[in-house]
Amino acid sequence: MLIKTEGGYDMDTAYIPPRKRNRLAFLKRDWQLYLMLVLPVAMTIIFKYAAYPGLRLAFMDFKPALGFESSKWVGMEIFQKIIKDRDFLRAIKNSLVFNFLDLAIGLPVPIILAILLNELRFKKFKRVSQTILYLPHFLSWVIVASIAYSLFKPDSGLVNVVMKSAGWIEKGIPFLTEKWHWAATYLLVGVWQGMGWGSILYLAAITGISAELYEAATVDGANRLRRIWHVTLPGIRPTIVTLLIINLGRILGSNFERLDSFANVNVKDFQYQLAIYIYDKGLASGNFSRATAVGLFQSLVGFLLVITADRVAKRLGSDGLI
Amino acid sequence: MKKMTRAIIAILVIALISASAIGCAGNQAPAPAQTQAPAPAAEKTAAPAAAAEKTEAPAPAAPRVKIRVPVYDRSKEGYPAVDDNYWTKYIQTEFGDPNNIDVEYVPIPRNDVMATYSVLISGKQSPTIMMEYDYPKVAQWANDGAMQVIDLNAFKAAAPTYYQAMVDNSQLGYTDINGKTYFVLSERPYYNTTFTYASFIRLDWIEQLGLSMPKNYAEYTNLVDKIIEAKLTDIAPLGLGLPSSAYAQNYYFRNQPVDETEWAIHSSLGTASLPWEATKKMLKRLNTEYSKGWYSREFELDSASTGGSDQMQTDFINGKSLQYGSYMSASVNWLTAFYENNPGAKLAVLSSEVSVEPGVVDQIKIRADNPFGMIVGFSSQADAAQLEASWKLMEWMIQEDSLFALENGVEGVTYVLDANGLPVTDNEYRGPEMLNHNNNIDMTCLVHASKKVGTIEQTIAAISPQGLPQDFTQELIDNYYYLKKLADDGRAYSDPVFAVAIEAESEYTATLLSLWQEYYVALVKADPSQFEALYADYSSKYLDAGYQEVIDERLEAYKAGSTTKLPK
Repeated sequence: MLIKTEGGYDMDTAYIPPRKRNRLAFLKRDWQLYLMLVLPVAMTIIFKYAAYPGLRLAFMDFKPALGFESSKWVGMEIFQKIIKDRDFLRAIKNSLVFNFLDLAIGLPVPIILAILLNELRFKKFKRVSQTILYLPHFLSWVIVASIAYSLFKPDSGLVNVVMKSAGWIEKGIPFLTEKWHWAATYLLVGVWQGMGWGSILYLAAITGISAELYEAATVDGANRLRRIWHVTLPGIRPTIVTLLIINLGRILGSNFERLDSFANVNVKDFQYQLAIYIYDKGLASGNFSRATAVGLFQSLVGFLLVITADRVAKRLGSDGLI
Repeated sequence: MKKMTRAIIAILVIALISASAIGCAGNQAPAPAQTQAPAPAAEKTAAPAAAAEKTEAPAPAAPRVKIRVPVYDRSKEGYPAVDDNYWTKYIQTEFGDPNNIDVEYVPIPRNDVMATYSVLISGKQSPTIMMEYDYPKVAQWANDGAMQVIDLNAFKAAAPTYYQAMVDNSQLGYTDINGKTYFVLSERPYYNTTFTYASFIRLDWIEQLGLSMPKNYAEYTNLVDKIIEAKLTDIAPLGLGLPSSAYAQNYYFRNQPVDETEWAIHSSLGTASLPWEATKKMLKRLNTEYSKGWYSREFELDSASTGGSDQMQTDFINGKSLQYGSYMSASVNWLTAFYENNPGAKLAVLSSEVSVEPGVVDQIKIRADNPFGMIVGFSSQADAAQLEASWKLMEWMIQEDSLFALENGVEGVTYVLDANGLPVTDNEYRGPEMLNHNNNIDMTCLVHASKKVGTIEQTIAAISPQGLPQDFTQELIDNYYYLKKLADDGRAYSDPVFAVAIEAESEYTATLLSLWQEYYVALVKADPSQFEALYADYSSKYLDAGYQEVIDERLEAYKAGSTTKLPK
């Protein structure tokens, strides 16, 4: 606001226009939060966006000694080669199938577990169970796989040895050495490793549900199952949808550490997934262009899936993610 | 309280940001000297001379040159860091400082050589010296422009002893790729005999069964079958491993003399020759042996990648398997452990002759190693001064005194001299002067691939395992002369070396290795009645997966005269 003075117009120093005041106000109010945000944003910029120029690799016949400047630009040639590669198609198929199965089994189990834990009334037992269930998450895949092999080897694995000596089986079950058995073991071990940790978010969401809703349901005569069905599950629906969308973005991704730790020559038909493909045919062969091209392809598909899932979720009445 | 919390949060965040900023700044720190724009070498060396001519003033000190030398990092427990230890400092003091050269060692993980080099090359950080034991790898580097062309006459002038050793070892034919000179080569002593490797068999078991040492495959088969029958062990008596490389040990099964074209296209460490008849014979024999219960039913799982360790070695140490072999040295841990666990047990060195079976293996043939050790090239990023400094290092290291110190250490500390005046190293010594892996071989590989001590008998005595109830020196010497006879009879030959890069090999090596492992296990474990059909199917898939392209390219190179030939 300008105030007329003897010398002309002067700024009213006591007055701050509403917009400016607001901006300063929220920065001033939440400065600690913004300060904390600086680091993750900086990390994202440096490690995600700053790496974008490196995507040129996917369109070049990159030779380390020649560098970006002198390596030959080949356009879409690398992608054409990859699409024609039978190993790539096998890797895509396996990645899709296994990630879908991981999602189909891995999504409901933590929800069920969270509900079960929430229903426990004996606090101490609940705490101990939670701690035990979280533990596998902190074990690396190398250790998990090593334990799995010690347990499930066909001849010398503990499980087979016990079952054989009990007379239940004559020949060891090839849990990890026959591809179909391997698939089941691989998926179930994955669920075992992740379910405890996965249940934390759902437990937190359940805690947020108003106790009044449960009381009202009880007054209306709802038993425990009814209360879970009509109160708990709708209460955590936004969390489920959010996690589903996030997980859909990873449907083409694969965890190299997990796959490599569970690898053996008998199960390559199923174990050969994109992460292995990128490592074998890209990094281990010094073919960085191919590794980048497949990585880019993976990211694009993941991005499209996230967008699609978000739209679908919104259409179905949920909040979505974006 | 609230203020205090805010302050703590602020301090933490600032600390994190500063730490990451410092980290980033660290990454952008000036690259080592050789990665900066190299000043023309002529200027560097001419300047002091010119100055001296004009005035009487003292010549300015020549600029200090920094070279980076690769050293394998084998992650061995109980050993000092490969790039910073007593011996890296020794080289700096004895060679670097007097010559105004800084020698920096660059650790290269032994099991990840190519990927590490690729990253170093991409980041313009490649070591001045680039070396590898495998020809296709260095050929690829040269082909991709990561190495520079060198002038052998200039090398001869700078490193006359080294050059003469190359002449004496007939290595000058291996220095070129695509018609240009890129490499110099280190020596591989006794390359055509694999005398440093020995396989040991349980002599006490043989005696217990009333048999004698097997001399051919029929006797050997009889022995193994009898061991199973007599239940001398409660596990499979022999060990078999998952192939960790593309090395198909089919030399016994090849025709003699081998067809040169077949040899040129199939005989390689880079890709396994699954569709070759010799490999088929080898797999067929393994299949038969497996079906008779000679090997563990889960042998393919007994590797580090599937949570196991070296199961074969463990089984042998525990007295449960018939034989085991490895490279020899004065201290072989598994042999020491074997005698501790099995007092009274007796071992003997097993001869390769036990594989002879008329119609399958008529004569023993063995793979002679390459007639060179390290193939040494130089980074295209190195300037002339660095090139010369590297050559000086090689010339210094090949001198007897330097090599002796690097391979034996300090007298009275890491070694003592025996009655013949030969050094006996103390492999248990763990003080600061301790030698790194295999007598500092990953440093001295720059000049030779294994330690030499006097005559061959003395060399073998130096690598014969010590401190055991049995002494194997004579058996190892006999084994050497047996192998030498094979070599003299033309039954030991190296793989072909290509003077052009085989592009398909770099493209398909990883895929083919993965398939080789898969098919190897499937074929060994197959029902013998289905072996033929399965082999035909896998061979055809293997060819389609890239092997056909590899052998086509090799054939073309062979026809164009770009390979070594079989010795006549």
